[in-house]
Order: sequence, then structure tokens, then C-alpha cells
Amino acid sequence: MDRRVFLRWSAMGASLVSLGASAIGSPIALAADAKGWPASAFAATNVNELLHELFHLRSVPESSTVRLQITGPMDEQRIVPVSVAVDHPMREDDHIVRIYMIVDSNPQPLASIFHCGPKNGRAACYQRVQVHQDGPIRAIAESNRGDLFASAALTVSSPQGGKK
Amino acid sequence: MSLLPTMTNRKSMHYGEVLISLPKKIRKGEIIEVQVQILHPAQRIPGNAKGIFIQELWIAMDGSKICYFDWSSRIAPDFAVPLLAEKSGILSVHWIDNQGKVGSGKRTFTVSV
Repeated sequence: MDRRVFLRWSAMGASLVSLGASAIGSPIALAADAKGWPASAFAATNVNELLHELFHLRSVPESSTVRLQITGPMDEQRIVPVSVAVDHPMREDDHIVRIYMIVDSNPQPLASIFHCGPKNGRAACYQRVQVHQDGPIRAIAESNRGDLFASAALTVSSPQGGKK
Repeated sequence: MSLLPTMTNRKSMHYGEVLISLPKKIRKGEIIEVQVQILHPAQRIPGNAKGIFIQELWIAMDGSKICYFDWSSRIAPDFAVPLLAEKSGILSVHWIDNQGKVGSGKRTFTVSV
């Protein structure tokens, strides 16, 4: 992934603010709870427990292929815009299948799991994440071959410090 | 991005509405950026007092799932993901929250050769 592409992904936060395209219909109905939502992983209360729950590991090696960036300031709700880009092929036989977003200091560290594939063309995503208190956030990418790659942890700190 | 002003200026907005943004021109084989914003209680305050949040969200093309998210209560429901433009069709976004409510939105996805 070249620098220009990465920077483009990093700038997505600003462009999302102006999002206002029309949607064609937005039906709402009652339905069953989300099936397959990994409740036990989301219930883990610390990173060690989470890594064991997800991968049966105590740590995941850092790799420069996973680039995590905080793309804007923290707002009053302690929400930070975060982009992740993984420099990895997205071929049918070799691709990233999941990107985990982890906030170490949250009571439940697992914030999200993005399930992706070759039809995405690139393993990347932009999200806005609430951070309970100042501390590290990290992303872990998992390939279809079972390889795991962790980003370097980034420390999020609010101008005032403290916690939500 | 040259889109409509902001969703808060929209008088037609309603709970659960899904706003989808695509590039104006999409070429075959190009990797584009799909931006999505959902009008949901979790939008303003993730981890809100009522504990309402979107648990799962997926993107589909002509009904076939392309990718999806599992979310905790700490995620605000707006995001962007890449998409490989292969063919024209209907791009849809679907969500289900932890209260069992569901919603969706769709846009025509036109790929030029």
C-alpha cells in the first residue's frame, strides 16, 4: 500500500462528517437478536482474557503491515476517529478475514470486529470508537491462513485526561 | 466530498435511516470507499445510558453479503470501508441492534467500464 492510499484512508474521518447522501428506504422491524455476535469475546474484561478468548494466545506479535491511525481529535463523548489499513494481499487464496479493534482501557476492551474479504479489495476500515479512559488502542488483523498481525499500540489521551 | 450538506439538515431523517455515500464515478476494477452513517441512538452517545447499540452490520451487493461488522456499545454507527468495484447493482447496508430492531438502506451502484 503506498503512502498516498494510506493517507487517503486516514483522512476519511473528515469526509464522513459531510455525509448526507440519500438512502432509498430504511425499513425497521423487530427481529431476533444478532445471531453469531461473539458475546463471550465482547464480554472479556482485559486484553489477556480477550486474546485468549479469540486466539488462545497471550500476545500477538506486532507487525508494520497493520497501520493504525487516530485521524482526529477526541470529542466531548470521548469518541476518537480511527482508521486501520493492513498492507496484505486480498486474493482469494491469501487475504485478511478479520480486523479487531481493541481499546485496552475500556471495561470490555474489544470494540469491534470487521469481517472482510477479497471483494473489499483492500483490508482497511474507518470507525469512531469511544475510549473509556486514556490508554492504548490497537488493531489486530487475521488472515485466512490463520496468521495474526498486530499494530503498534497508540496511546489515546484527551486534552483534559481522566475518564468517561 | 461533494455530498448533501449534513444529515442533521435533512427534514426527512428518521430513526434507523441509513445514509450511504459513494463516489460520483466508479470505474470497473477500482477500489472505492463506501461511507455509511446510521441514525441510531448510538450515533450520538456510544455506550449510552439505555445501552442501545448496533451489534451487527453488513454490506451486501444484490443481496450477497460482502463484509460485516460485529460491534460493541463503544462504536458510533458511522464508518467507511473499501469495496472493489466489479459490477453495477444495488448496494445495501443492514443493521441489527441489541434490542432486536433492524434497519437497512440501499443505493444504486453504477460501474462504468
